[in-house]
Amino acid sequence: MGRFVVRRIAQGLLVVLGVTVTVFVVTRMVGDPVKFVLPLEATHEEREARRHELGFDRPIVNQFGSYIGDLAKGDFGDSLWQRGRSTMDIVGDALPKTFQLVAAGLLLALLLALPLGILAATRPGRALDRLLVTTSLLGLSVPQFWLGLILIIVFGVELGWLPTAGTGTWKHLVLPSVTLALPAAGRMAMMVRSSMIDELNKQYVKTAKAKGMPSVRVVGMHALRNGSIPVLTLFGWEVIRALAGYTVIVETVFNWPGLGQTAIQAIQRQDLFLLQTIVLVVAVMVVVVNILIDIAYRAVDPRIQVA
Amino acid sequence: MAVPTDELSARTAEEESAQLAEDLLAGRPYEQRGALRGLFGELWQDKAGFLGMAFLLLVLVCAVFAPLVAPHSPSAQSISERLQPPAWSDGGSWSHVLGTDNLGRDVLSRVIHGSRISLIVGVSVVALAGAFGVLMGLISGYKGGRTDRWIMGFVDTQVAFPGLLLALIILAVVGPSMGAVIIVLAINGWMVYARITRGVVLSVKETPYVEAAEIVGCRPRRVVLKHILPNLMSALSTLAVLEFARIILAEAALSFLGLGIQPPQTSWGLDVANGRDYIFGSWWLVTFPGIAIALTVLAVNLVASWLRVVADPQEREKRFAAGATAGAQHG
Amino acid sequence: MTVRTSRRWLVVTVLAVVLAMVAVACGDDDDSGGNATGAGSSGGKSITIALGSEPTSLDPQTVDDGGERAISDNVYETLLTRTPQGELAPGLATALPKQVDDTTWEFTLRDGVKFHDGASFGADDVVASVERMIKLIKDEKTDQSGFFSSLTGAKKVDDRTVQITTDGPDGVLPARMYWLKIIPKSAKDKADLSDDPDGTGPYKFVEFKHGDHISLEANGDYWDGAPKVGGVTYKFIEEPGTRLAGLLSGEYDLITNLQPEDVDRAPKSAQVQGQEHPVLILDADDGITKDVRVRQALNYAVDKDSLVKDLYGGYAKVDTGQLLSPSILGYNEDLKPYAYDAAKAKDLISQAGAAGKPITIVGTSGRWLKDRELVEAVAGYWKAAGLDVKTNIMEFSAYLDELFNRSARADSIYVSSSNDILDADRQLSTYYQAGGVGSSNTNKDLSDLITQARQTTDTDQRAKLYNEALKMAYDQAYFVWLVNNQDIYGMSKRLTWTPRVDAKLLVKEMSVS
Repeated sequence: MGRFVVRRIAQGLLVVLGVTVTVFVVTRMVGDPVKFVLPLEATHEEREARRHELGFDRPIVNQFGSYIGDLAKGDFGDSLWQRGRSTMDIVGDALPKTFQLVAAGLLLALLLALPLGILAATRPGRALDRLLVTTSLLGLSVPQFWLGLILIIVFGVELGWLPTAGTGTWKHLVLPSVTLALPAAGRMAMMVRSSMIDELNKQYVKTAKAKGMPSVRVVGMHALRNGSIPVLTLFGWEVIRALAGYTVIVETVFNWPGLGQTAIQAIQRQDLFLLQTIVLVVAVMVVVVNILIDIAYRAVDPRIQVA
Repeated sequence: MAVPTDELSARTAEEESAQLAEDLLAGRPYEQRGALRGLFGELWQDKAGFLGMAFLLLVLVCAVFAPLVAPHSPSAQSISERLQPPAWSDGGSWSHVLGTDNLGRDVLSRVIHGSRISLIVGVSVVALAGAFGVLMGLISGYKGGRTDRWIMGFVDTQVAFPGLLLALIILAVVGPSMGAVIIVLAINGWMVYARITRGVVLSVKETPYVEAAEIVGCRPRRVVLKHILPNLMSALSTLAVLEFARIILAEAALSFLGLGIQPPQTSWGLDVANGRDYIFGSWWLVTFPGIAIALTVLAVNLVASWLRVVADPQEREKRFAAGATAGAQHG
Repeated sequence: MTVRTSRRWLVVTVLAVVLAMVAVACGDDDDSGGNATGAGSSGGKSITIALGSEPTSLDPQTVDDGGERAISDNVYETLLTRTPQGELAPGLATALPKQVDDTTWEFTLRDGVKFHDGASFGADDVVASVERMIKLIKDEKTDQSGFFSSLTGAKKVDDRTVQITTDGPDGVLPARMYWLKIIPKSAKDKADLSDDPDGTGPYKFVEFKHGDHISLEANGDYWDGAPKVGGVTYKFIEEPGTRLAGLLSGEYDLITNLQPEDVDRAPKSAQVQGQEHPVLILDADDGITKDVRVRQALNYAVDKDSLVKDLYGGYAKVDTGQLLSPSILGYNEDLKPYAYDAAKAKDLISQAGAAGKPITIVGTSGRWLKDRELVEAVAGYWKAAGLDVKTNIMEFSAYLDELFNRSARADSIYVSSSNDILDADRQLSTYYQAGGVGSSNTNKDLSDLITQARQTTDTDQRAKLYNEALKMAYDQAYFVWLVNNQDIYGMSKRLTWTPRVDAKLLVKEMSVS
């Protein structure tokens, strides 16, 4: 296990390095990051001066060297867009907002997916099952940005029940987390259903039923426990996916000031330094969660080989 | 995701004997036709899958014959006729069945033309990513050793990349366009094909008939093409269809964020973004392109789940064993 | 490890990740009462304003950013102000400045004004404000250099009198002093004032929760009497639709940039003929637009009245061919819009031998009100006039590359020109004068006129020079002038306010019931 962890961490570092280099090179190809920093009316000389001040006129290898050097000192650089703020501060402000959204959204998805998937699995092929399967499919077929807009129209504007954008109270969280939850719930419900059908077909379940165990207990105690592994794997994957920036759409639609929206704003304003920090933080999070899940997964089944 | 080994060898053995039969008899075309008929029979049985396939064909017809099907040009604007509601609403007219957008362009025509982008992007990305991924998977699985470790190491690393974020950044840097979207999505999506292909290759490689072919002196290329690739088809076809659905959503999302298709081209995602400023007064701008995306993706997903049942005997068995009346009747 | 316990491992890990996220997320809950904060010390009711963008800094002297101004205009004051109609008026100075010589202007300061921290306002503060700005410009630490590059210093005459000097005759100086925010002398050497804004204005800074809100509270000791609105919370909502949704659901009292289509939907709205002039810059030196007949034809081809009526729902006026609003000094009364005459446009184009030739139109999307729609609409008209129009709606960064590209100008570039300081020099030196970042002509006579006007301190003489420059550009059709759209604000029922031509959101001019 120890060697495995070390190897996983080494591989994780490789991922982080790869992502950092990719972003660094790609963004330096922009040509003129300075044009965003200065107002439309700035002169050519002003632009050159600012480019020099920010070090964009140096060879890219030197730039990367000083970037890594600053990172080692814990200096993530200052934002170009939010003048003078450390990019890490900006990310630190946005991150909890994204966590809030992801936690609420994915827990909601799990709460929806478990009962629906189990219900469908107990009566496969019947009308209820078909309805649930089709609904799940629909859930993961609807584009998220559109779903969000429709929810805004219905619940925010027509009914006036819920706020349409921003953060603050728990009410602000409802529409964004529902929007985030539905496609994930669709995927998870399918997975719950599928793995429950597998379990319910196994000999031990049939035996238990034959022995007269109440079916609620069979489903609840045995099948659910054994069928939960693939579901949890999928759930872990959903967490990683959400942390890897997939909340950007929901955050954009609901003006939710999380990491995704910050990333879009950093892209729009060509705030290279902020982008670098965002991508770095995201890569680290993804790698860490991945390693945790891999370790847990391996613990479940020692036969699983690490690729 | 790995396909069980025994399953595959059974099917391949079947094919082998079919090939033997081909040498002996000339009855194969008939068999093939029979198999094809069986396929459609099953599709008909799976009502949801059938509906999905029918809808997809409709979308395909719309896309190919868009200029003939659409009542207007998608770019014909008329400022004085802007924001007309759909025909059945107050103030709507039948000359613009789904109403007009903020420049007086016909929404129905734009939805019809928008299908082109979705299909082109979807097919191109699946083809590019699929071809490259399968190739990498074949090399990786067949060669093994250091090559395998390198390729799979690369796959594992790239899989852990925050793909969407990188896609957004790259698109912003190189400038968004249809070509850029296709390439970026393909770069982001080839790994899954490589993994699955490699898995299948590894499991098939050990089977007696492949070993036999190698001993007999078949060239590696022939072994791969004749013996390994056919085994991939069932796993890959389902995957490709599922990926196709995912790509359509991804293109729409990128275009919605302003980093995908750019005007004057039309795309469903772009039109939803365009209608976003008008969601209060003119709901039809956002609604119809959104429905088009949802239905198309749903149709693709329905086809995919039918295909999975057809292509994967284990899935099929699951349904029978569970007591379902018709094997493919799950939606 | 048994299978059962290891399974728990998996459960525990996944749940731990989620719970850790919940914990971090909940630790962030302290800002949940965004609306409750900023309850005014003067007891008046609080309001919430939705802005289009979040300030990138709250330092009033470093950034050039509409979000920052919306806040700072209430926290800080300037020596001169403008009436809601745009006339220069006394502010922290008791009167308009006296000109001592060509390059020196003298201001008399108001008595009894205090900064929010209690310090009295006097000549030293004005000197500190000017000197800090000069230093910021020298160090290239400010985006406002375009406004203040002519300043050379400030001198305290006595505690209530200050002289400000410029590097040459500068007719724009009074307008500049309407833009320079006065900071306390204690802030002179600070590099960044963003964390602790301290001005003399009617509202005091309370807090800035990045990504969420900024709140201000009424300054009970304000020299002009405590304002009626007790506190303000600012929210930052980029999407016009989302802003409207929040207005409808009662979250906001005031939203900016209401769409003309949504005016009837808002509980209340107000509009004013503002400074926005969307326009197309034509390349007068090269390509198809080099021929003045083509440039004129492009003007004749566009039905401006229909744009006003249909696209802007009547909340706009046809631009009279000069990019300036009538309230600006130098506005030429004699210019009339190029009429819509499709036949004449076609004629001119074929005379110039340009029929069927390609023309590029560059625009962007989501930056200005109806930016993309306007470009697409104009493209439609040009097509009808017989040109092969290549519409190129670009992502903002690529768009800026085109706008700033001095070596090769696109045939036509859309830009929405605004005039922050309400002085003609701003727009003319940027878009009219050869070498200006957005200009596409090399007319030396025009350039000389603009420079001359800037250096003229006599207002009548300045106005005459601008009149002449505008006429010259009009005849040459260097632009396709489109409209001057109104600034439209959506308001809640309880808010009363009349918008200003300079688009400043001065909360002290608002009242709430």
